[in-house]
Amino acid sequence: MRVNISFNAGPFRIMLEEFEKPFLDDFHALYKHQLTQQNSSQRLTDFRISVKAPSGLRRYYRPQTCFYFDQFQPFYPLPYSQTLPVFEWGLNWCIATQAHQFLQFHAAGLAKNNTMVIMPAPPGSGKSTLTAALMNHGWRLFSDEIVLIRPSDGLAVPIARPINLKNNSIDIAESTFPESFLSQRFKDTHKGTVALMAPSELSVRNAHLCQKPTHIIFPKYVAGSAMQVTAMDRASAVMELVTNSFNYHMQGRPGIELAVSVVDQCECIQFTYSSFDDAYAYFDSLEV
Amino acid sequence: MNISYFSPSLKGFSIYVKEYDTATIVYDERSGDVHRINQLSGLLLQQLIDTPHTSSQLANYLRETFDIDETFDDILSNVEACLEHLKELELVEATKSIPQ
Repeated sequence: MRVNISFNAGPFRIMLEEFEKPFLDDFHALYKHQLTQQNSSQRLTDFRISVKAPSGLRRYYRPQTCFYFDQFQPFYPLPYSQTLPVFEWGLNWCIATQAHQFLQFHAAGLAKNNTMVIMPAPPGSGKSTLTAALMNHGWRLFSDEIVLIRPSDGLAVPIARPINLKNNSIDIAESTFPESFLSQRFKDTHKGTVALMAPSELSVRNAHLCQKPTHIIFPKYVAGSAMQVTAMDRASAVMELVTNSFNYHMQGRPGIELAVSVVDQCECIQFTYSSFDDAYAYFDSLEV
Repeated sequence: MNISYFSPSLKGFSIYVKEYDTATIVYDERSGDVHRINQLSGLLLQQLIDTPHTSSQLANYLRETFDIDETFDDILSNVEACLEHLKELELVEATKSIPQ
């Protein structure tokens, strides 16, 4: 059985036209704060998505799931058991390939008081785990994957969607943040085992509050290391940020000028850590 | 004697140059690439955006403007290395006459 769901994720309105019912409980738990918000039915839909099993024999033999955006199927089918992560990855793809009204960075974004941190980092650097930790420590989640910058005023725009945790970080998150909802584990994906953590109510409730970026922090988890904070030169920060941008080239010169202005207004830092307590103390000290 | 004039190779396209303390960032609108180049290369590129120059003219400009305590040949050698790098990045090109 399939159901239709409509909800807002930050600046986007998503129409999930068909979704496989066995994954609905997790979906509702992950998006419960969005789903309980008053969603204006007048608002235009940005992304019309279906995630469903193909018809015919493949519903029964090695069942699969397919992602559709406006009836276009951009990806090969994946195992049916991965339906929920397929939705998350597909929605990331929709934003990255369609939402060029924003400058986009592959990065996490978090804010507390007047401090707004952009955290670009390659896979395996512990970005999502640190993001989950800070969110559970009272920081407002903008995004775990895509930071949006609005060109008109240079503000970061929250999306507040689930955090994608992988492999060992799932056990850490489960034991450290038992109060946060964590989905079932999806095994044997192309990223290994993944689980999704729901965004905090604080993050979703304030997803309309855009904020000026103040810090660009490149985190790296190194087991057993002492915390290390190193100032990064801005030229290197621009190159790193641009490397992690999905679409600066789509925006031409205004895109690179905006990326440079974000760097120029931020402190740029390389941050090595091994304990959440060190990270909490450091991030909480980032007063503007 | 072969004299080459150097000028930006991005005719008809805009070029964005941002100088920092440690390096210069250049955006090539034609390719969409962003390059990090050293400060001297950035300075020379800015000069070439204004007017085509030969490598000797650029070396003279550096010697007179910054009172550099190096021989002319050393300065020229540095300038030529920078120009070669800028050529590799396809940010400048060499011509036998002053480009119009």
